[in-house]
Amino acid sequence: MFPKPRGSLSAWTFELLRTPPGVRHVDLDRCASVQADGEGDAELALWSLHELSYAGFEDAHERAETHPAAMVLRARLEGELEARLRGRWSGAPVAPGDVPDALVAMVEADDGPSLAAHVHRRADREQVLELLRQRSIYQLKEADPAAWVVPRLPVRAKAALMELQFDEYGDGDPNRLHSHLFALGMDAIGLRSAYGAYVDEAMPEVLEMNNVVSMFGLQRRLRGAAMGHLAAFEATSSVPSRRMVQGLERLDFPAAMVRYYSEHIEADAVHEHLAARDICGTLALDEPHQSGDILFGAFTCLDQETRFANALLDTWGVDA
Amino acid sequence: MNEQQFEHPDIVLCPGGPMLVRGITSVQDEQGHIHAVERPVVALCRCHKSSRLPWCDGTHKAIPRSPAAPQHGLTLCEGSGVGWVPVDPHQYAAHLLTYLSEDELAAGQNVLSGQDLSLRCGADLQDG
Repeated sequence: MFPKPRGSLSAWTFELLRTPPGVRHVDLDRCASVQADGEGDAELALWSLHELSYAGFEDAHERAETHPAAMVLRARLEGELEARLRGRWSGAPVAPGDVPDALVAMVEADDGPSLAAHVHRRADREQVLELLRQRSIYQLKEADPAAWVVPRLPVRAKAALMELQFDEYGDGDPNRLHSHLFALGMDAIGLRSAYGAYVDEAMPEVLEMNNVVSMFGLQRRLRGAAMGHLAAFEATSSVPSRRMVQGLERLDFPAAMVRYYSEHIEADAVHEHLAARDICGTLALDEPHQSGDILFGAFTCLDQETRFANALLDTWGVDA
Repeated sequence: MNEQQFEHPDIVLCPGGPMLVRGITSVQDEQGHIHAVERPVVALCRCHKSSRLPWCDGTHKAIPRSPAAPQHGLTLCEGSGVGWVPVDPHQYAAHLLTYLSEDELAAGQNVLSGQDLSLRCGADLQDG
C-alpha cells in the first residue's frame, strides 16, 4: 500500500499511480507544476515512483511503472535531486589510473559522525530500535539498486560486480541473502520485517539516501556514480559493523540481528577491495570519462550518511 | 581488448590490507582450527590484529601503513575516533604517561584495554 502522503506532491503522485495510465495533457502539465509543500514530500514522491521498479504497491495500477506522467514526474524529481547532489560536490579531476587510491583517500578523510560508534558505546535500546527502523528502508532491499547497473558495465567491471553481488545475495543460499538476514533480525527483535513497513516514519534524509541509490542504479548515464557510491558504502561498512555487533551485544539484542552485522564485518572486508579496484578501477580505465562520476558517487555516499547521522543524532540530542 | 586474457588472480595482496583468496573451501588457522569458506572470495588478515582471525575485520585501517611500522603499540580512543601509536613493548608505562594524563590513566578511560591491546589491535573497539 502507498505510504501516508506528506504534502500536495506525494498526494497527487499516489492519486496518479492509482489510475489507468494514458497520455493526458492535464497530468503532464501537473507534473511540471505541482510543488512539494510538506517535510519529506518531494522525497516521498520520488521514493514511491522508484518503488514501482522494486516491490511496487498493491494499490498502484499494475501498469503504473510505465505511466507516461509518472515517468515525466520521475525525470523532473531526479533532475532536481541530481542538481542538488552535484551542487554539494566540488571534486577535482582525477586520472583514471588514480581512481582506486582517490577512493581510499576520500574514505580515509571522511570525518562525519558515526552512528555505529554511538551504538557501540552509548545508545540506549530505543535509539537502536529507531536506527534499525530507519535503516530498514534500505537494508530490506540491500544490493538491489546496484543490480540494475550490471548490464551497463564493461567486461571486467561487470564480472567484478557480479562476484560482489553473488555474495550479497547469499552465494546462492537463500538463507544467507543479506536483506533476508536483516529481515530475520527484525523478526527476532519484534520489529516488522515487511518491505517498506516503516516508510511512514522514515526521515527525509533516509528517503533521499534511498532515492540516490535508486537514481544512480536506474539511469545508465549514472553508472559511474552508482559504482563509486558502492565503493564508498563497502569501504565504510566493515569497521562500523564491528561496532554495531558490540553495541547490539551490549544491549542484549537477539543473535539474529548480531549475525546480520557480523556477516558484514567479513563480507565487506572483501567487498571494499573488489569495489574500489576491480569494479571502479577497471571501469575508470575502460571508460575514462566515468572517473569523475565515480568519485562524485563516492562523495555522495559519504555525504548522505553524514546528513542522516547528524539528523538522527540531533533528534536524540546527542553531540556528533 | 577483446583478444587479451584478463588478469584474474586467485590470490591478491591488498596494499596495506588483507590477502584476498578466491575459490577455496576451507582455511586452517595458526592454532590448527579449520574454518569453512562459504563465499567466493575471502579476505585473510595480514596484520595479525583482527578480532576475527583468520578473517580480515578492517582493523588494519587503524594501523600506520608503512611496512616498517612497529608491531607494538597502543590504540587510544578519544571521542568516537580511534588512533594507534607505536610503543616500545618494554616501555609501556612511560609511553602511557606520554600520551595520557595521570588522571586519564588512573580513570582508565582513554586506553581501550591496557597492554594486551598492543598485540591484539582487534580489541581496539572494546573500551567498555
